[in-house]
Amino acid sequence: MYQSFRIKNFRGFRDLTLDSLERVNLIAGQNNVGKTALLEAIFLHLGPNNPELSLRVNSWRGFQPLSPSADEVWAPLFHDLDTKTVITLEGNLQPIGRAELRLSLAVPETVRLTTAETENGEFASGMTTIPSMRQLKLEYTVENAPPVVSWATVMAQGEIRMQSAPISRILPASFNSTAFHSAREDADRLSALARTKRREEVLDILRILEPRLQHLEVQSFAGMSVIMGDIGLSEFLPIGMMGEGLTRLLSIILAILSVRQGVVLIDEVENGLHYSVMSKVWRAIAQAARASDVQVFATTHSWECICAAHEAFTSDSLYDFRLHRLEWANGDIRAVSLDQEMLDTAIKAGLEVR
Amino acid sequence: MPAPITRPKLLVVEGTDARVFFDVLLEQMGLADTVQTQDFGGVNELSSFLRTLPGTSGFSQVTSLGIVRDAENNAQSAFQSVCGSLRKAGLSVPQRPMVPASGSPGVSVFVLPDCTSPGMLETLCLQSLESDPIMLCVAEYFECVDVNGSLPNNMDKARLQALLASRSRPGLSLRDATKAGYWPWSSPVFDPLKQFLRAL
Repeated sequence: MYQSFRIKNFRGFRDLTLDSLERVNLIAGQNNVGKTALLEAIFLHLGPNNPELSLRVNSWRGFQPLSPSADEVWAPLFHDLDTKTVITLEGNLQPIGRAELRLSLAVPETVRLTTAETENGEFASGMTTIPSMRQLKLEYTVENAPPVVSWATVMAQGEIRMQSAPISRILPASFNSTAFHSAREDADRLSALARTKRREEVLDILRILEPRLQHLEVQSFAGMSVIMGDIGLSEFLPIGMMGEGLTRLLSIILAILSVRQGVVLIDEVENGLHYSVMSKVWRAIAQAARASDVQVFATTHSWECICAAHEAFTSDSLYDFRLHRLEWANGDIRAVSLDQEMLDTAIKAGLEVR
Repeated sequence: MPAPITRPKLLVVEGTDARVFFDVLLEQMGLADTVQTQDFGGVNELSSFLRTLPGTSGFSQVTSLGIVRDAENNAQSAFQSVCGSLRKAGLSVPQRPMVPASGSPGVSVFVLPDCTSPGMLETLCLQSLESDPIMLCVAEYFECVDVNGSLPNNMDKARLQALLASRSRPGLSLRDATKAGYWPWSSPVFDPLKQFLRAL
């Protein structure tokens, strides 16, 4: 679990520190203050030898480079688009210790490359001559061990090749983005949980939104895996037909139950969920996160969502929750953390903490 | 729904009645566009309120913070109590009431009714109506109560209620009496308070 996290020169952040991290962390703040970017930074830090993640976080935002150069491809990651700086993502994790990922554009030596397009992880590899131009370099250091270096290289035709250094321990992670949802990943996760007889855990949580739900299973249609639900009708229904909220909650819970001892990142957690169920949803997230030893980082714009989370954790035996608010101050973004007493006061006094 | 801080000066006051009172007074003084009010609840909640305040939306833009609370039995103790809460919250601590402490934001404190006497907001409101002929009736009423029963614990609250009971629309709370325009804002008893608000 992260105890603290520091971001330097990434997206809108010049230097941001997030302290007092808890099991469940809710990130609030106005538009364009960097809530999603904060999740992206943690996501990159959790895959420190995987340069492909840097491409993924840009593509989720719809970014397409106009020319095949490293500066063009990676500039959106850098604060003020300044590719001469070094992005530093530093986490203090229990029990790993201090883990730092540095991203920079540098001229590489000749390296072994694999293509980025392959999805199954079985990359073809070979020695390639690298143009003497700056490419994306990822240096990962845990405590005082020597750094492990990975590269992403933009080739002349725009193809991006990767060289990932082996790393002994990385926390598993899942990013629940509003821009991208993988039905296949959800189906795979449900199948895996069903195999270990944990389907009922998922069903119990989904019944918060759909009390009629009796059964869930993965069915195959034309080679595609689809999660189907039984709500007492004559046929199973695709889960997507039962509403956006149910699909969203299913995806979140599957991620938390599947990513054991890892981190789940949820962008705009309240999306598709009615405020009246949010307190129950938070209780479910808390219980699932504790059971799977997962740390959760979620973002929100919603006052009801914040109040519901506070209510859910206050009524629980353990308040392992923290609200972190991002705000602009003197031209920079800073984070303010609110503990139980502060959040209680803010809600009672009607103080704005979004 | 919560209200974000949008003005450069923030005045935090004790309770809803006080908030309405100060909103109307600030409007009267032409300061409503620059000074925003916020209710911190009761005196026991001031400490956690001040600790929370710097983390709320818009507080980083606040240049001046004013705190108003009742003296109750002792104005000096009330002031020291506010200072203790400010210290815990990491905010600037003034040396004396009405004298701002520099910082970001600057902080000043006013203890009702006049920073030296015991009392509360009701005390100040009563003082502003001291020349009202009905005050004689109020005095006689409580003399009668004293002879035939026992006096209430909080005499200023009781006297104000008795006074308000004499108006054409009886039974108004302090906040409704404020909205109804019952306080003579030109009375000199409000001068120290006005001076404090102007200096924010």
